[in-house]
Amino acid sequence: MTVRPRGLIFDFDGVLLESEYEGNRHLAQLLTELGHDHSVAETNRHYTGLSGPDFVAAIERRIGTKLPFDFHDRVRARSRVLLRDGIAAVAGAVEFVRSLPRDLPRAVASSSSTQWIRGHLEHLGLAEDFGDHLYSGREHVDRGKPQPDIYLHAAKEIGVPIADSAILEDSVVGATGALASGARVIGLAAGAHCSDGHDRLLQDVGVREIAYTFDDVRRLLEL
Amino acid sequence: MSNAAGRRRDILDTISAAARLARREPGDVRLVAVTKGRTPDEIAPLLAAGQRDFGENRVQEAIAKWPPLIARNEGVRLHAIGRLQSNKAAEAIRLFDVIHALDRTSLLQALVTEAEKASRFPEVYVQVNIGEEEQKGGCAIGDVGEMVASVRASPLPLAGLMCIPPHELDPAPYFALLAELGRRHGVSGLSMGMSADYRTAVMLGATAVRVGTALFEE
Repeated sequence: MTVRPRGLIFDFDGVLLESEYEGNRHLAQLLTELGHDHSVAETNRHYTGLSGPDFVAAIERRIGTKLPFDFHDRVRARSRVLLRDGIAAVAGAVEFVRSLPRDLPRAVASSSSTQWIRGHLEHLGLAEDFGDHLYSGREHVDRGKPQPDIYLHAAKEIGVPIADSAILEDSVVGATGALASGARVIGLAAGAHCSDGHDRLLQDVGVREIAYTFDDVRRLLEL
Repeated sequence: MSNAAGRRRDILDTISAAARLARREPGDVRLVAVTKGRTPDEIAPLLAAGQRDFGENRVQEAIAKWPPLIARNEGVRLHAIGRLQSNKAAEAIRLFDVIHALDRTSLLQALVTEAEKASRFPEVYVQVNIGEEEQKGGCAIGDVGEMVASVRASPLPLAGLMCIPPHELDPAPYFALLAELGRRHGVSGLSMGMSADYRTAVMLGATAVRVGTALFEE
């Protein structure tokens, strides 16, 4: 496939922002402090993509005991600190976004809140590159990823048919929804959380094009 | 543990993991073991491992193979997953607990007639020709509402919608479309996903996956 897309939709955490790695690093630290030694790779492997009761249940299954009652509060408090202080961009992400043709419609389609997306885009100096095209699976549609709704919504908002759009995704859940939308999907394994075999995880759910760097993305999309 | 039983365990684990990632209950997804062309000796280890939902494509093959297995194993639910001819309705009604390929009103009428004669009412899935392929069974996407309404007006319980996406195309958009049709018509059961793509199907809402090759072959 060599046709240049008419619109570009970015997942956020793990695609533009190193928040997947940062979140795993913090979780590993928190669990280790609680007496359950975890490496960053372990938290990435066992808990990525889970949330709410499933997230807690997965950890409790693995550590064999209950988590303290304020565990969620501690995780949330850390999120607030990160939103205040900022998180690093995925390598090459800022340069890639800034190099896009000005007239190429683009959007962020994420499971995170628009407050989180907007705050971090400002830290990265990319807020103006996306304007108001920040879409949250929990705010703009009834059903979040892996359902395709948020991508369909984003494509509609930027005025590009989904079949003419390309989506950059790093997670199995997101890539499944992206494929289900009917868009062209680039599986991005550039984030620090993408250990060996991450490309295979994406290929297993049907992603055909894998990029290991943003230079790969540029080459695949002819941008 | 036999290889088939081990592979079943792996498939159930994959289903659970995919369901959890999609924030679904793993218990909401039923694994239907497709045993078309498999002998009773090949099926026995799956029964011993606790598998109870089995799918067959051909009525005659199922009649020859399953009655003794059903007699020896409590709780077996037999699924007709292949295209069904109206002249096989009587046999299908007597043997199967679930019929996955209802795609026309003439077949529904034949099934209802035989169900009332036998006082046996299997659940039915409305098969949708999701890729609009000429050679494939299933009702047209535009006819789903009418077929669903016909089943609801019949004595046969509606299990949901079923599809087989086009060969060699990415199945995810077709699974998402079937899920959307289910929502539009208030149907929660979705029979979709086979050996190569059941994980994606579960993430997109499948409540029944039909797996054969991945259970029986390395």
